Amino acid sequence: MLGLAALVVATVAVYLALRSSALETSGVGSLLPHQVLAATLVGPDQATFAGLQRELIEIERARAAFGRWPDAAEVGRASAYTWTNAREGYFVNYLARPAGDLSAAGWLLVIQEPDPQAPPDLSPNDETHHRLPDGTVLHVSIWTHRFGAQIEPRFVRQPEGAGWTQVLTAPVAPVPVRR
Amino acid sequence: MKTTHLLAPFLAPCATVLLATLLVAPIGAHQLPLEVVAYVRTEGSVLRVLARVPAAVLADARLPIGADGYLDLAAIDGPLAAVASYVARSLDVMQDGRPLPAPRAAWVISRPPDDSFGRFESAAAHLATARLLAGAKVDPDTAFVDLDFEYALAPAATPPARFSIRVNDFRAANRAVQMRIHSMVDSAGERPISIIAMTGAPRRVALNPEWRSVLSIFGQMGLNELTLGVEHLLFLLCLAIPRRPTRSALSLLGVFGAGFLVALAGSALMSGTNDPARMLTLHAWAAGVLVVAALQNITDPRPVWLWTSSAVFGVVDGLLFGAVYRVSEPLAGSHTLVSLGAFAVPVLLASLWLLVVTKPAVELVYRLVPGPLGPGLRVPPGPEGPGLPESPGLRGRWATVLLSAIPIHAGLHGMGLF
Repeated sequence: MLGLAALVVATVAVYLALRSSALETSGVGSLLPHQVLAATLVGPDQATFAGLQRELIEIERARAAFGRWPDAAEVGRASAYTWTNAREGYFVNYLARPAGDLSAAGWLLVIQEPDPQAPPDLSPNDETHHRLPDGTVLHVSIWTHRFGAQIEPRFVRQPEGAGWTQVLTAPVAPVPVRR
Repeated sequence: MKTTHLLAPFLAPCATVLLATLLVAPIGAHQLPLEVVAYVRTEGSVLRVLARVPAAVLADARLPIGADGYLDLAAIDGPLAAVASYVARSLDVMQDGRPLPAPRAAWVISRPPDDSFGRFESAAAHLATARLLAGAKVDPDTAFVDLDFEYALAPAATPPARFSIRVNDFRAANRAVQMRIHSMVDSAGERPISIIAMTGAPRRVALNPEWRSVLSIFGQMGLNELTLGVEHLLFLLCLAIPRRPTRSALSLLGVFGAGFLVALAGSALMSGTNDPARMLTLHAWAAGVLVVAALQNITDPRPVWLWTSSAVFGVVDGLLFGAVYRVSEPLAGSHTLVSLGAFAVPVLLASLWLLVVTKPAVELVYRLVPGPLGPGLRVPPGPEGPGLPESPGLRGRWATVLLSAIPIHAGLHGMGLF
């Protein structure tokens, strides 16, 4: 009986391993049409994406420390992009356009603050939910756009409707898991 | 009773054929995907890439449009230089795992009908000579941007040099974009070694892969396909359900395997794309034969009918797996046989392993089904061993029916009956 149990467990384990490797191979999981995985970008864009993830943390740190969103001039000083920022309601944009190369991608950071009238957001911290030290949960996302030098520097509330593609390190569950 | 046994396995396949044929709905016409075509060829110390990109997938490049709505060819060279730079970066051609330096690029705008990209030579001649006059009327929705890239190659550390290219990075707002790569790397002649047509997420493909990477890619592909092949897995369950000696189940798996291999090899040699209607028909056939195999567990027919259904299922399953293999076959480069073996062998070995694992699990179900034992439950000790029952009795019959209901139910769904 123990041998049989071991066989069944081994079968399930192998099946799950195969399923997970199949998902890894296809690399898309449950991505929406306007989403791509960072791992599928070209090498330089992957590096830019990783840099923007760090930049986003710095922006949030400044927001937590000074109670306001930093100006574009304070963001990404060392990068080869021209930064602008815009705000409308609870949405904040940081737009990075390539300074010289017409064919390089543009990047957009979108941060959504919670509505104070809304019930507390219980989403766990993940790629698209960042929690400030005071408990404020921000919805954050990083977007890319081909031929970034041609993008008009204006506020974007719904990037997917304006030709932007969201970059993710892993597919996001459509409904956040509640703790 | 004997007549029923003879007819049951015969009538069921006929009914299945009829139903499968009737139930396959005609596939309606659909919009063709936009296609990016590229030829990749080594010419001495140069790698040449000729690419045709529909202007429709370059909307973000904002090619200049005149007041008349046509492309402004007098002002297009600057934006096209940016397009060439973008396409080269997107293709990200690598030699032995290292990105090649930025290529020398040339470009022209073309308008349909233009079939110069049907062959490498005509595409190269087109790029060398064709240039539309500044006043030509070119519709931006149907125009092509044709590009000629020349990469300087580094001396390969261990010849032959291995090349790879990124595919599927081109997007259009509302239409799928397919990419077709004609690989002529290390080709002395004019014919491509392989033609890789791909859709889906961006990825890197090897143009002249080593046999070891082909082994790994296709082995994993075969196993992935096995985990997705519901009919295949349920057929293995069908083989495991009856309380027949393991040797009989293995012989049926052998018959299935022979049919599978023959059909897979035949399907791999076939040319052409996987027509959706044909794939639907094959799935309906597989589901139908699955129902027949499951019913045979209950009707307990003569061995020849069991072998027949196993062989037929093997052929249909082989054709289905072959269709999957054929789509990816160009990724094998010149290692077709290696890829075919790497695809098929893990499927058959894993099937054998699954059957061996499933048999004792099914036996456990037989032991758990409540009810009175039927007469003649145990066979006398003999060469097969004392433990296996020949006639399962009432309790075993019920267990067989209940277990067989799983593949029957799935098979009927697969045939579109529910």
